[in-house]
Amino acid sequence: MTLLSVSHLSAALGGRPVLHDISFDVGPGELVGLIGPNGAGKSTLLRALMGLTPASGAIVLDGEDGGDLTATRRALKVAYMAQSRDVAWAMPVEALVALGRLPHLPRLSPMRAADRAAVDAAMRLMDVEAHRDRQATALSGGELARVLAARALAQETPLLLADEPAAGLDPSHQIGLMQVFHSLAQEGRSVVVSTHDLGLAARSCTRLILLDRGRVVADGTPEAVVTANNLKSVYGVEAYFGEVEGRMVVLPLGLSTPSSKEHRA
Amino acid sequence: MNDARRYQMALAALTLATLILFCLSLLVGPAGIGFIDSVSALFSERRDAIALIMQEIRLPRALLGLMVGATLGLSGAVLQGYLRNPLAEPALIGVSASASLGAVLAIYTWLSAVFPPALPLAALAASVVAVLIVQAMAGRRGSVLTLILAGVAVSSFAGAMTSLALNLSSNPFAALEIMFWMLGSLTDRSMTHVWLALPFMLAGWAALLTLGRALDALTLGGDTAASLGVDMRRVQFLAVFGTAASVGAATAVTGAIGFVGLVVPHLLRPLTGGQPSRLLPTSALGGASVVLAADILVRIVAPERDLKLGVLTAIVGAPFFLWLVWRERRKVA
Repeated sequence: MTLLSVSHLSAALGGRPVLHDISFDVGPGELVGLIGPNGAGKSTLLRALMGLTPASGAIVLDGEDGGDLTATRRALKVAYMAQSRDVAWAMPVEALVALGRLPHLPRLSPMRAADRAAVDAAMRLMDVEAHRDRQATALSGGELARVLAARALAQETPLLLADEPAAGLDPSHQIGLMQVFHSLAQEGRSVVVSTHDLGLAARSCTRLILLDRGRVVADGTPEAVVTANNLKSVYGVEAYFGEVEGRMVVLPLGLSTPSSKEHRA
Repeated sequence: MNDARRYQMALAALTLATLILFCLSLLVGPAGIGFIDSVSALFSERRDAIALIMQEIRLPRALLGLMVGATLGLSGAVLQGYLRNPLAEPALIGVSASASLGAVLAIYTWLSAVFPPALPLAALAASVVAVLIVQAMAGRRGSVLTLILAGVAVSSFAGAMTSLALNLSSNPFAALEIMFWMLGSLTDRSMTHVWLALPFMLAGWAALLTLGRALDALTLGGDTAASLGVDMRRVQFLAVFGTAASVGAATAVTGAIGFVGLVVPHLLRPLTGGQPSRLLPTSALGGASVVLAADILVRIVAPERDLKLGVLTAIVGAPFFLWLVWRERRKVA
């Protein structure tokens, strides 16, 4: 059984091909990290999965063809955290998190008890309850990132796609966020997060997908994907590898030698 | 909850203000009719002078003030929410300038002198043409930027054609009539104008009022709104056609009344907790209050000179807007 199935997905932006023939499945319980250098196509892939960027190929979301889903049906199956954290109006945090309940609300119906409970639970998980009445535009970058994550959690979907949700968070909230995603996965949901933090991805994700120039170059456990070879050929960096309490630790140390960059070009 | 409470208070206060101003608008005028006489004349079957003044002059004027003000406030709130920009206003999509052009052509060709309803009808037809062009330009994918650029182009073209009509006008009286009409006014409108504008406005309001939740979601940007189940093409269609129908009809019967659609949503936003869905009814009531109040003012300030409503809203609105900007600037600094 899969919650997300992608086959032969290709996409272009402004006539330039960005994604080439991408295929993978994500099942319940998986916390998938999407990694790759700038311009590898991580955001475009997530946007294509949401139907926000035109793409060829097939996307199946929770058993239904992505192309046939109505906007509301899709919103009940998959939540999306955009990379942009732009909030247009000075809205209180609670009202902003409550936007996650929109797909659940019948037309003209106000928030019901279940909706309020979901909003409260999401705010508690992301540690933003104390900011409930503050205006979203007055929050710090990291606080806003957590509020937006709470907004996505309040949507209570089987599948969550998050575009760099951990960027700008302090270490404790980065770890907290990944723990929340991990517990979602343990409940049988699926989470796909893009990130540039290789260490965080290797530590927290059950599986990593490495993208380079629009292609999947590695897909598997963190140990299988984050290898010295892959980091050198894809990122052009040398890294320190270690292990703490049975979990992988990786720390990029420096640029690799020019000869390996030639190989990249 | 504090926020919801403040919103309800604001809504109640604005409803009351609109009602009071509507009644005042019925009572103020050069004829100087007493309160009891006015009210009884409004509902009387007699056809005496007082009944005529109340039913044929003041009632349509007050009704149009209410309708036009609500239209400007509501469409301003919707466009600011849709474009996610506090500087958006109803004139942005080119409907106001095009409706003006249609009206000016009706005056220029003397059509309106032969057949008075030709003026609002020509204005409405021109705004329909404008919105079709803008919507076709913006296309099915509905880029916000294309929409704004198309609106600017259509506005500029309509403005140039209006200038051309003035330029070529052989008769100074026609030119003067065009100028006066463009200033925007509620004077000497009849119930015909009300009945002409009402269906378009009702249709426009119905379209705009369905957008509340979609505009709330748009606070987080178009992508997030789409991921929350908002059909962005539908939102654009309803925002553009709702504005076109209601603002087109408003401009057709009163001429251009500036600043209301820009300032009112901006002013009332803090009372709504920044939630666009709450701003829609608030801003509609606020717009109605402002236009009714301004229309009462022009009658009190210069009863003999026929001061134009659009002139007053711009004279008061522009400095007031500057003050708002000044206050915002200090808050940011």
